[in-house]
Amino acid sequence: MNNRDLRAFLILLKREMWESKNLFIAAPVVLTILLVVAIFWVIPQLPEGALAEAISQLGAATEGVGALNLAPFLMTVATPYMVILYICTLIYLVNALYQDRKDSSILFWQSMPVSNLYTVLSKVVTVCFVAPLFVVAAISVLFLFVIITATVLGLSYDVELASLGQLFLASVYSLLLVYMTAVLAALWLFPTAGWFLLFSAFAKNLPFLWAIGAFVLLLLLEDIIFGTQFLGNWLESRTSNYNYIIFEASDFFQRLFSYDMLFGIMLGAILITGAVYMRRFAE
Amino acid sequence: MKKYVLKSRYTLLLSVIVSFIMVVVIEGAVMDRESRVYTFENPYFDLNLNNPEQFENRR
Repeated sequence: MNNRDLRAFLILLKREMWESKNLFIAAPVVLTILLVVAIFWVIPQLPEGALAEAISQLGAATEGVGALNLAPFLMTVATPYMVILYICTLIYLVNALYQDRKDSSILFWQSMPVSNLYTVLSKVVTVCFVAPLFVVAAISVLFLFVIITATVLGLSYDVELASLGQLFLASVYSLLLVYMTAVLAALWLFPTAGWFLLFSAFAKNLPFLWAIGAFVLLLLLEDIIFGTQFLGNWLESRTSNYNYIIFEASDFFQRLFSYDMLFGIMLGAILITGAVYMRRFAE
Repeated sequence: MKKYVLKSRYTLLLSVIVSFIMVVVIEGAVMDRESRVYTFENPYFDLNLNNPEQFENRR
């Protein structure tokens, strides 16, 4: 990839974020605003004694705990963001190669000096690496409010929580873990992304129904015709929670280069190749 | 081969899906992948969805 191709690819990534800013930028921002409002609405309504007890228990739980050990607990804050990210990613993938065919803007985009391969890859890179960045940015704002609120409450109830520096370090490390978790989960779900992109490029309408229906049909046909469940067994092997979350940065590369991960990426590559070739049948 | 695969979107879709299924089946056969979902253990009765005939005598 030379400089010109790299610039073109970066412009494609910018295009994806412009066109999907409601999904990948507005959604986490709105969630952050809702959570911050919830924090400032719920805390004054708590009984004085209950709040003091909660702060004192939090102080006892974080006593002597290092920043690296505190970070995984802070990751629980990211749970609603991950749910929103998965839903938005699903909506994005289903429409990624379908919407521009539906509104005929594909004819404009294909007249640009950019290959179908770069176009499809830009959507994959957006989902795997770029969208989680905006989620992490939104979570960092929420962490700032949580740290300030926890510190102020600790001072007002005279409870020694983890120091401000420790909380800051723990939040930075947990943001890194959240980003790694999102990237790892996206790569673990690479075959799913490829499947939805393939049917997004293929279907004339209702691409989501095509994608789900085709997979269910294949599961049934394999069982009925051959009496085997290889596809179902493989699908079941991808549902382990262990592969969606990491609590230590050192686990990242171990999981990334595991056999199941690399096999899934290979399967996703087959499906994405199909999606790239399917783009030439624009109607 | 490429000419036939790229003849139409339907042949392309079929080729991609067949390739995907073949890779999954071959890998499953080589790695002897078994499902863990279909067997449930509890102290009251044995339920194994791989063997539905066990329920045929029940009324």
